[in-house]
Amino acid sequence: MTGAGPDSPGGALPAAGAQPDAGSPPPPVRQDSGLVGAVEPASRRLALQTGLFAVFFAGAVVISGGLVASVGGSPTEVLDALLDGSLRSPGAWGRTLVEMVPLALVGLGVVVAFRAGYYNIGTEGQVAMGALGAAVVVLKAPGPAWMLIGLGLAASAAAGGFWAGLAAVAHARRRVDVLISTLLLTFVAPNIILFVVARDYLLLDTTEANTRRASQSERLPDSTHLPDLELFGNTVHIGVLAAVLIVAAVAFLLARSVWGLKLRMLGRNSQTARRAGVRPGVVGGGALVISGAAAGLAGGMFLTGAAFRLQNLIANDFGWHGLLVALVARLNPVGVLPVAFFFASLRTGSGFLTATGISRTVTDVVQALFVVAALLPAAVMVIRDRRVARRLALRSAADAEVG
Amino acid sequence: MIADLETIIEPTIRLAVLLLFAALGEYVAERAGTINISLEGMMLCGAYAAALTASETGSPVLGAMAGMGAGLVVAAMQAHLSHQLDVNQFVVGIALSAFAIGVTTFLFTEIEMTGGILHVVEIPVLVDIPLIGEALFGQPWPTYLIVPAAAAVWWAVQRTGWGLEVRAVGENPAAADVSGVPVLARRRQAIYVCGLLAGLSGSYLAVGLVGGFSQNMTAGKGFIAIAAVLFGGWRLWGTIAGALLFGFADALAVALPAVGIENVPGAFLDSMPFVLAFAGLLVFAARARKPDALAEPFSRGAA
Repeated sequence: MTGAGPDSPGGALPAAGAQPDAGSPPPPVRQDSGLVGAVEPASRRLALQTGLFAVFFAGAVVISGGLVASVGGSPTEVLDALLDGSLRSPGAWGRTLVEMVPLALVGLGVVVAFRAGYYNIGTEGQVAMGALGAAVVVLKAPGPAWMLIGLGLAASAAAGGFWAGLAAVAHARRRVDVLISTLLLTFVAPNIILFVVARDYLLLDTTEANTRRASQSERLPDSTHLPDLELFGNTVHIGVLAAVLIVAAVAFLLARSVWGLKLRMLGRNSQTARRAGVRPGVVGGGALVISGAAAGLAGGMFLTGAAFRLQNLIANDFGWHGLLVALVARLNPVGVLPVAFFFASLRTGSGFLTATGISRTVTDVVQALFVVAALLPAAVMVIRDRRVARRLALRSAADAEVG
Repeated sequence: MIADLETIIEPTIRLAVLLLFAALGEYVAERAGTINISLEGMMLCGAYAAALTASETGSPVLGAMAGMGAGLVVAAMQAHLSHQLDVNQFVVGIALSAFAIGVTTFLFTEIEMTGGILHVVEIPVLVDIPLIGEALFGQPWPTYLIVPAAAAVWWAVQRTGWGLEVRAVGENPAAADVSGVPVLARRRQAIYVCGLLAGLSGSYLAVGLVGGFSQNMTAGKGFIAIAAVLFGGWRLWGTIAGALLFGFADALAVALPAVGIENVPGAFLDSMPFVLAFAGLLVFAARARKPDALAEPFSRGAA
């Protein structure tokens, strides 16, 4: 199935298996868009790819509608309900913006780690650990409220970073695959929280209100919630601003700083990167810890800005969905915000689906369809490049005969 | 005491077999050079298709076949996207896992099904052996399929020309390519095998053990199965040992309360398989020699 011409790898993604591994032979160097990319103007390729994205995303919408219709629902009603729930009803887009914060932070972290070739797919656990870290500090530490918020968020980033750091250390010291270790740790995190919120000497809510001793922490005191902002009748917490600033800062650093360059080198070809003086343990392991910290911060902001109470399923799929956000954004930090907003509107909109008789889980399918749709344009470009390369090869062979 | 041990051994075998069906598939895929993380999605789709078919037709056999078919469909997507269209194999795996959870959860809430059927086949005489009789010879019938499945995988990978080529494309695809081995085709075929076995594993869970489907019922078992392959150092015997160990850890959560040990926190028991898998990788991963080209995409002329 290898065509006559060289192939282009999928967009900005590092080659699979680029995870640096001492002692193994250098991974094959991939040629970017190769022959065809060299012949064709970049603007034309960009236009083609943009068109393909539009076509495939439209396809995802059509298939989603078909799915709704196939189980007896009305696609337009469902779309209406989704729009009402996420944008049109009073206060809705504020809620969607709040929902966007954890998704964007997780997605941003995933972009950083994936760019370095470190496949952190255990973000769900890191979000949970972040929420745990914030809850411990805010509920247990002494001090004025404003300080507790700051310390709590710092603790959430530290806890998420620590959880990813375990995988980073296991990889650096014992060659344990990051992909698998982050995943395994994800399933441990909710159990730790369950343990903590079920013990009265730890975080169990022992107030009168919790007479049935449900496994949850006390509600965070109002003074320690993230401050709210009023925006045209919608209430959002200050984390929305913070998230936008963080995304902008990281996008700038990835594109313009030496650190960003090192990350990309490591992701593209770890052997070359190492020869150029990039230390995989520091840069790659660091990227993994940063992505864990971003996921942890997402958990902390969700706890102090929206949930206010710790329980074992606090991560609420933000980790998984944030991972998908990064993929749909094609590992482009600038794309993370709009895609996170879109996914957030699916989440807030799904609450309005009850009236349509369609299960709210339909939005999970829609998300997944968009993820698949985001993969396909690169794949189509590969097929096309092979065709064009073959044609070019034939033509040059013909020219050679004539000459 | 013996009764207590039986209470632990019996679920250990069931859960280990469940993991091993999937781990056998992953073993084949990884020997060919793919870390197939859509394994969980294959199992989940397999479980759903098996439960639905068994509920509609009343036949768990048809259910298991549908489950394998569903695993194969997911495998085809993973195989062609990653080993024909050059999409990053992990990204494909993540996307397919999300897709599997979304689709099965949605369909499960939209289409009603009745419980599947659970057939226990007791092998006479042998089932009366104390301690291990019940565990090894008194299980739902698909459990026994693990023996021919493991034997077939061993034979196919270690004793056939196809298996030699599969191992070759996992070790040195460029060399295999020069020798005329269709690298990408072999890698795809290994993923198909993985899909069939993972689908069977999901069917075993749905119609063999539970007797129905529930949302996200595989709950990370696919990832544990991948860990079993890594833990086993990409060897068949190691993989089997890993599946047994993680199956044991899984079984403790069920068995300890049943034998009267109740003061171990459930949170601790539930995370045991994952902690154990992580610890196992810490100890053994550095020592194992993994397939050289594991997780590396191949395209001709690129090396």
